[in-house]
Amino acid sequence: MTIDGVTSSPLPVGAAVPSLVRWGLSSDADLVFRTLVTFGPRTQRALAAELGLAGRRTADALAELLESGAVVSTDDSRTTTRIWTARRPDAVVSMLRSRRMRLVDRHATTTQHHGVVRSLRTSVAPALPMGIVPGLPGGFAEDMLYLPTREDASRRVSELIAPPIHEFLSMSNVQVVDAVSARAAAPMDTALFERGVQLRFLGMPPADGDTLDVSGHLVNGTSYQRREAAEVPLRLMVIDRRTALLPADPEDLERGYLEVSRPPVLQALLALFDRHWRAAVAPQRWVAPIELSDRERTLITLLAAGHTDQTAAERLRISTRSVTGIMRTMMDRLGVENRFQLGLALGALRVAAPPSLAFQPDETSDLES
Amino acid sequence: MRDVTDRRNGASVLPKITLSDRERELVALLAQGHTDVSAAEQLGISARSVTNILRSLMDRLGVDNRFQLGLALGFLRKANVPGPSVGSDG
Repeated sequence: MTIDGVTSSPLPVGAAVPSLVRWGLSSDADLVFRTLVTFGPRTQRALAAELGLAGRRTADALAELLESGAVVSTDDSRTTTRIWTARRPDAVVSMLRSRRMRLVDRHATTTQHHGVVRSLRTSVAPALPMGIVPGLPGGFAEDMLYLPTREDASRRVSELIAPPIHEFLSMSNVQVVDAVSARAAAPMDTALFERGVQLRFLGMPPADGDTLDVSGHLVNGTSYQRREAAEVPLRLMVIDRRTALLPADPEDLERGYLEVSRPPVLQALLALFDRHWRAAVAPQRWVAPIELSDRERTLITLLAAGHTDQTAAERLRISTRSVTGIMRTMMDRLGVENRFQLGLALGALRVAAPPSLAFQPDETSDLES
Repeated sequence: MRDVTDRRNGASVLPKITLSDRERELVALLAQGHTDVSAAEQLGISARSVTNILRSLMDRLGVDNRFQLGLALGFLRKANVPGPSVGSDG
C-alpha cells in the first residue's frame, strides 16, 4: 500500500507508540491505533475480532481516528471490506499537538493585551504607549521606563528582586512556556522560594498536557501558588506591588518590556491580577485523576511499601492472578503499558509513595516538639 | 501509614535527587513506554547498562522494584507521565 505519510510496514512489536488518550482521543481509539501501528493494516472486522471489541465500538473508534487524521482507509463502498491503515505515530502526534495549540489565537492574545493597555491609557496612564514601542531605552514618561530587549528586562528583574522583597506576582498568556522563559524562570523561582517570597503565578493550561515544568517541585508549598485560567489578559510581573513589567509588544517579547511604577497604574494592574486570580483554579497536571477502589488503594499501598505480588496477594487473600488483573485494569485506565509507568502516574498523582519518601524524616518539622 | 496526600508544605521536605543526563534520558524513554531493550537501543548502550543505571537509581531512592521506582520519580516529579513527550527536548 502506498498512501502518502502512511505506514504500511508495521513497527516492531514492543516499540513505543505514544498514547493518543493524552491528546483527547478515547481509549478505544488509542487501542485500535496501536493495533494498526503495531500489526499493520486491517479491516474493521479483523480489528474487532482480534481486540475482542464490539463491532460498534470498533467502528466508533475508527471514525474518531479518521476524523483526527490518525488513520486512512481504502474507499470500498462496503465498509466491511475497507482496509484501515495508521499514519506514522510521530506525524499523528504532531498533528494532534498543532490542533490543540491552535486553541490560543495569537491575534486574540494581542487584542486582549491592547485592551488592557487602552483602558489604562484612558483611565490612569495616557502616556502608556500602545501599538508602538518607545524608540529609546530608559524613562519615557513619569514613572515609566522602556527596557528595549528581553535580556534588559530580565536583568532589570534580577535587580528588582535582589533586595529583600515580599511578593512576586506574575501571569502569562503564553500557552507553552518557551525554553528561554523556562530557563530564566526556574532558578529565579527557586531562589525566591528559598527566600520565602510569596510567589503567585497565573498561567494558561498547557496545550498538550506537557509542560516544561521546571519549577513543579516547588508548587503547593505555602509560599508558591500557581493557578491556571483559560484566559489570561496579558503577560505581567509585579514586584512587591510597587513595580510592574509588561511586554512592550505582545507579539514580540524580544522588543523588551515597559516598567511602570506609577501607583494608579499599579492599582489597576493589581486589581486585574486579583480578578483573574480569583477566577482561576489550581492546575490539573500530568495525568487525569484516577478514582481508586478500596481494594486498588490497598494493593497500591502494599506494593508501594515493597510487597511483592505474592505477599500482597496473601495479605489481601486473593490470588496473584487477581493482583495482576487489578494492576492491568489500572494501567488501562491510565493509558500506560507497564508498572514503571503506572508507578510514575500514581506517584505524580500523590496516590502513594515508596516508604523511603513517605517516611522521609522532616528536619524542619515541628512534629517532634 | 502516613497518608502522603496529607503532607503539607511537601516541597520543603522532599529529598533532593539529581538525575544525570543519562538517567534522565533513560527515565524519559521508559516513561514513554519503551522496554529496557528498545531504550537501550535508542541510547546506544547495552540492556545490561540500562539495568545497572536503574539499579543505582533504585538504590539511591531506597526502593526495590520498578513500580516503586516509578512511584518515587513520579512523586518527585522527575518525569513526565504517562506516555510520550514526543518532539520536545525537555
